[in-house]
Amino acid sequence: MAVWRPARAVRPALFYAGTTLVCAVVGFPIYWMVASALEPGNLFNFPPRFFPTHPAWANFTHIFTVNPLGRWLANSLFVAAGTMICSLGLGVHAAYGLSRFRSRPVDALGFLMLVGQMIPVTVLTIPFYIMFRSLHLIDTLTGIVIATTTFSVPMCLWMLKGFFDGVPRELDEAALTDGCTRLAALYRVILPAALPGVVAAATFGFMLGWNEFFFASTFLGTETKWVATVGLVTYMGQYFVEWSALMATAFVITIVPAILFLATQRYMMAGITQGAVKA
Amino acid sequence: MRRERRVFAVGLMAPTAAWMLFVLVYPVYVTVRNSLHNVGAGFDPHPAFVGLRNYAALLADPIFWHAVRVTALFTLGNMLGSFGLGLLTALLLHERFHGRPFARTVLLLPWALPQVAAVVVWRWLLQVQYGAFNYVLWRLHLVSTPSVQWLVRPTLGLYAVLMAAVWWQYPIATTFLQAGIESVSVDLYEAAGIDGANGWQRFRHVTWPGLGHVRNVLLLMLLFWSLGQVIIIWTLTGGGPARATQTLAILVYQRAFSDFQFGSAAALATIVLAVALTIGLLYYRLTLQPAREA
Repeated sequence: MAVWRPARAVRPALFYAGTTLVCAVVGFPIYWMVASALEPGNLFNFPPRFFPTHPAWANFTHIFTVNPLGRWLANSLFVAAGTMICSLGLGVHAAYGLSRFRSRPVDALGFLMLVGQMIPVTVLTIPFYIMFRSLHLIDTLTGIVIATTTFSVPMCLWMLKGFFDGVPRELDEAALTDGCTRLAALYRVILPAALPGVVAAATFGFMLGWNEFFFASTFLGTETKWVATVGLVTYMGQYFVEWSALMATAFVITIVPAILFLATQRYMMAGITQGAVKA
Repeated sequence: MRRERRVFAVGLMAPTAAWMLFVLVYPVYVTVRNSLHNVGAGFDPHPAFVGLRNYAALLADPIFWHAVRVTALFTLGNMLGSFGLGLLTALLLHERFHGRPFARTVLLLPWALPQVAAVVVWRWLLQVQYGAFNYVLWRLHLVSTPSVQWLVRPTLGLYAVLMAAVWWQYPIATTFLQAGIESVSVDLYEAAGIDGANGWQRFRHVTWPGLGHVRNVLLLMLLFWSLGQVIIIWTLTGGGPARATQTLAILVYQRAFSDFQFGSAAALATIVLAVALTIGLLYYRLTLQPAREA
């Protein structure tokens, strides 16, 4: 006998309502950034207009004329790519070592890297300022890359190690018996097998470089050398804030890491948890 | 063969070890050394040795103790907020439902934003006259005026910073906890189902204990991410209003680059480093060591 039980229908409905609510609340700030970026004028509307009825696409060209935004983005790209390359270059080898050649000194390095990740950026701004002054790296993008690797190399290393641990050791041995040198075994056999990890670490290194703010805002004095994050914050700090243009700028700066993240989401998330939890 | 293996291992690790000596060990050494000297704005190459006087001055400074309190509050709020929201969303995403991939993307996206972009959005949401956040609160009758001064009133500053920080941080917690929940054996859930356990009982007796290790690691990571959270605080409030969000990590920066007291800043930095090292040791024992003993 089919009895209509309200609980059966109410539960999924409640679940969907709850999920929608959570997604709406959490997603709103991002929606609001996009919607505000498309509003014409200064956004001095009360009550706020929640849907841009006349999207002002011109905002997105306007922001490239009020600020050297193109230049800033190019600088960010340089820092992000530099950070990514350095972290991968160092991280791949050290992570392989940490995965396959455990010993006391190797573990000590692993621990050092762990601690490296945990230091607040501001603590290191001062010594880097002193070091870079004597090395003539103040006001250079190279300096920013160097300083950022303090955080990106450890993170990439731990991510990659998690993925290397997932590659069976038999593969190393098979490659060696086939006459590969140890290094060739790493490059030709292990790396391809751990490709998701390499993608995850590369994305992470890139995002860390792209998001870098403290070193850049402390060491880069010349406006044309600023990276996008510094430019954005300076723009926000101006006396007269043009909110719609500011939102459009924030949106443009977000696109690159957001697309990268969305494209590599699965690997990134696996990488972060593996590297941290299993170790 | 043995020897060749060892040479290879050294070759793998040496470049990274050398690099970290340059970008981590040496800066830390400089910091500790400066903390024992009277380093001012001029960076005198031979500053006077003052022993522990910088530390003594800090411990006698009410601003330091205020920063300790703010750090504790911020850390607690950021950990609990991120963990709570992370657990809620991880449990949601564990269910199979229509639109799950979309919900997953929406829920994880905040973390993909550069922190400064997140701050710009929150500044606009919390804007006094035209901010959407105040408007919504006001329409829901949660506040009596549509112009709550989130970033101006000292009593509200920490809440504003926590909102932005938790919103940006929690997706990592979601990811960890989702991985943790998925690793709980399906058999346990089936057994619980046969025993007639309801949703809460399943969570309380199966999911929660099953999360044990992941939960501990996540809480530790949230702890050091909270201690290291400076971009959101600095760009949203700059440590203000009236020092309301001045954490230790923010104070280090201000001592150095606003007050130009590099010796005092270095002593403060060394204290923060010691705390980070302690957490690091805990973390090490929790993750790396069991792997070696196994």
